[in-house]
Amino acid sequence: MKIKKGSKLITLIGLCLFVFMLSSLLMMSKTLQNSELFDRFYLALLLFNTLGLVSLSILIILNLKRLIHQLKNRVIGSRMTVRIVILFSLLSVTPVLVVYYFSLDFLHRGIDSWFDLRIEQALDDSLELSRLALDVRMRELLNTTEKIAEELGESNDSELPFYINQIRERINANELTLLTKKGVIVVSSSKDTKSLVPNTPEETILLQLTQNNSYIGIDLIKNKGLMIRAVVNLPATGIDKKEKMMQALYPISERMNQLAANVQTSFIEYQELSYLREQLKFSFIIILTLVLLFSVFSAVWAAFYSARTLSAPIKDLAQGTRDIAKGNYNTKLPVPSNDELGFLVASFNDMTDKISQARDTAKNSQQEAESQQIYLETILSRLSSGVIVLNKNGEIEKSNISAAQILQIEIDALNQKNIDNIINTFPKLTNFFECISNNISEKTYDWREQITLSEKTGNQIIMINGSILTSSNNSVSKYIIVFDEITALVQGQRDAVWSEIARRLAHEIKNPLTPIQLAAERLRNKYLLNSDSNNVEMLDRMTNTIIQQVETMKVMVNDFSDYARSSDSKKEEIEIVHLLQEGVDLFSNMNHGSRIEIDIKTDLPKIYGDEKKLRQVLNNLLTNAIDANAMGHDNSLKISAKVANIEDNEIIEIRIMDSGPGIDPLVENNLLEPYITTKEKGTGLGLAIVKKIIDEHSGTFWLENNREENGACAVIRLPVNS
Amino acid sequence: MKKINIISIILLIVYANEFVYADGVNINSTNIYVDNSIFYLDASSELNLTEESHKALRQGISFEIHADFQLLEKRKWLWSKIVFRKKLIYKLEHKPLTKNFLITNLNTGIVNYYKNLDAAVNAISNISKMKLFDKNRLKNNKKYIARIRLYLDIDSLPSPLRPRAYFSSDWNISSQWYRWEI
Repeated sequence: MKIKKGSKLITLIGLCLFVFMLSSLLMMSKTLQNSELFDRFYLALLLFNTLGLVSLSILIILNLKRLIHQLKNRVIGSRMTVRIVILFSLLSVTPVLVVYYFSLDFLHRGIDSWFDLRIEQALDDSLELSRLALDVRMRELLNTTEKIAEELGESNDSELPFYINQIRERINANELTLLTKKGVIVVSSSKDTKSLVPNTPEETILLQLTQNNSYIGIDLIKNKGLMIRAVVNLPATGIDKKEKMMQALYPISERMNQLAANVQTSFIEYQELSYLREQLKFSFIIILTLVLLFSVFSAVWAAFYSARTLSAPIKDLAQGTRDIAKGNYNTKLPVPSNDELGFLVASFNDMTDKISQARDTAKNSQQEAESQQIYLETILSRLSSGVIVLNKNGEIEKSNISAAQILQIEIDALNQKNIDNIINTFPKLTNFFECISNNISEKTYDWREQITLSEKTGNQIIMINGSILTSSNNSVSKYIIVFDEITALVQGQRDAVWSEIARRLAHEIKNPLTPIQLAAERLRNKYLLNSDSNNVEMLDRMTNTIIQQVETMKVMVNDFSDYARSSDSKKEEIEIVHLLQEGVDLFSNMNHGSRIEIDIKTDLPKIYGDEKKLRQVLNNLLTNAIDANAMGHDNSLKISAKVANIEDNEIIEIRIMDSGPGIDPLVENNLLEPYITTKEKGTGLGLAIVKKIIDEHSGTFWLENNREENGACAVIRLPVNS
Repeated sequence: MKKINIISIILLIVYANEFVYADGVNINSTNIYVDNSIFYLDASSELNLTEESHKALRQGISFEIHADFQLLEKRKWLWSKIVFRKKLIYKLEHKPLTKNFLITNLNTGIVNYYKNLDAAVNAISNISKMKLFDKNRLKNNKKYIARIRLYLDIDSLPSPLRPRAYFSSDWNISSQWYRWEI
């Protein structure tokens, strides 16, 4: 804004200067035609115009400097300005220079034509003629004066005052004076009675007289004008005669005086003009040069101004284009005029308007799309089902939080990853992604598959639904995979089935067991004493077997019953340390040969649970451990319990490690399911019950092989604040 | 370096001009005296017209020669103050008809004819009994400096000649200030 104001001020100053200089040059032109004005104002105007030219040149230099600076900085429009300035300057300067050249020529010729040799000769001749005319008259008067001097020389000094007046009148002189050689007046007679003091000749005349040379000349006499002065020596005759001289002043006729003056004036004026010819030429050349420089400078300055004015809208356009390139679509350019350039700028403004509108529309669409995406993501994040979107190259483009939770990995590990990379990173998900990969490669439009992922805490069953999204040309654009973890559902169904089986088994088997046992005991009691020795042994053995097997079946049925029983928990705060210690004590008493290593922290927090069931859990696990130890070489047992922090939840982790043969790989995946056992006499319900109880306590339970030593390890994690 | 060169050139020009002035006009002596409580001045100087001015005079150009007298009062901390100033202006011209040189005292209007230029120039260069100021004008407790200079007034030249005359040594006919204490 300041720059624009400054520029306007400079332009205004330039315009004022232009007007003043033009006026000044016009005045100079006027002064050339009027000698009085010329004398008065010429130098002042010359000085003013020179200063004006200097100011104009400073303005041009400033413009030039600014242009060079703009060129160096590659300012938009600077090159165009240079071209326009050069073009304008050339167009305007060339004709002016041509006119200047011819004007100078005409000026020289014009002034020279004033002076003609013939005129000069005529003037010289006229002056000479005037001199000759005067000389003739002067010689006559000198002769007259000399005659009078001889006449006076013969008379006495005392007679002179009486004669002199008559003589003066006779010779028609205005003044007649007798003087000594030293110039002292002896006697004088004057026609002018008012003039008391007679005119005396000057020293040089006196000197001339002393050399006996008479003087005749035209002199200007004070108060009398031009007169012919004749001074002659008086002849010294007689004894008393002193050396004297006589001066006679003769009038010049008015006509002659005027004509001589005219001739002299004309001659002087011509001579003066002749002498000033070169100076006049010089003055005219100066004025002409000033006009030329003024025209040239004004043209150049106007060229700068015009170039700036012309290039300003183009500069604005370029700047506007740059702004648009930078994304500023609100650029509005001032419409400079109603011409083509103005039309261009107006069109540019329309274009920016339309771009701005399109940008706003696109922005709105983008915002709408973003809100839709947020909406979709919100839905996806709230979905319990896992959703994965793959592009046609099999790379995961999007997934929801549930997908990551189900697959038990970070969501960042899923997004923007190739399926193969994920499989490499997470081998446990191989089944899942291979299933997806297979279906993608087969390009099945809608598919549904159930897969199982093995986890140390148990198997994870996932139901996967997939479908293909097609683009407008029916080509595959994306794959949508929706999956749910149905482990709990399947497990629930399975548990319900097993519970039902167990309940029926318990009910159907338990009922006849007691009569069988009683019958066997009655058989034994009735026939054991009365039978012969051969039969006694057999009877004893058989009835005993029946009773023991029935007992065993009862235990088994009780286990079934326990498993099938609904979870009637009586939860309360319990000290897990006590339970552990109790279990360890019990089993150490039962197995004296075992080496039990205990690492139970005494400051374990209390947990909220069913003490009886948890005791059963410990009993089952310890029994299993002892059974396993019996199959191994080393009869050692390690029991540890500590507080740990898993995923910001405080838990108590109990580990029971045996030194048995470890987990059989054949049953590794199904070990926690009912009726899966590697023991000869096992029901396969022990670990299933443990799993069920721990699940009821919101904990986790799994079995794993010891890493460094032989044997298996049962791991229980129970939440502290559940 | 450049500054020094420029200063040297300026000084050279100034001194060159001084030399020109010194060659053109020299004031040889002055005599200031009191007569009837009035100060009068006699000055003797040497005025040499240049060839160009001589030529111009003979070709009808008239010009003025000024004798500028100034009385300065000395001041302790400031520059001297002009307390009195008088200028004698002589117009010198040539009359081709009579081949005389005419001197007009523009202060008095007295016109004198001279048969040759030397006599005319001599009349101008020797000032006799130039009336100055009353004796009472001088204060006893002050110091005074009188100075005089003789010069050709370029402004009296015809206008076309002036621009050139301002910058030409041919027309720079001027003496330096001739000073003395009173």
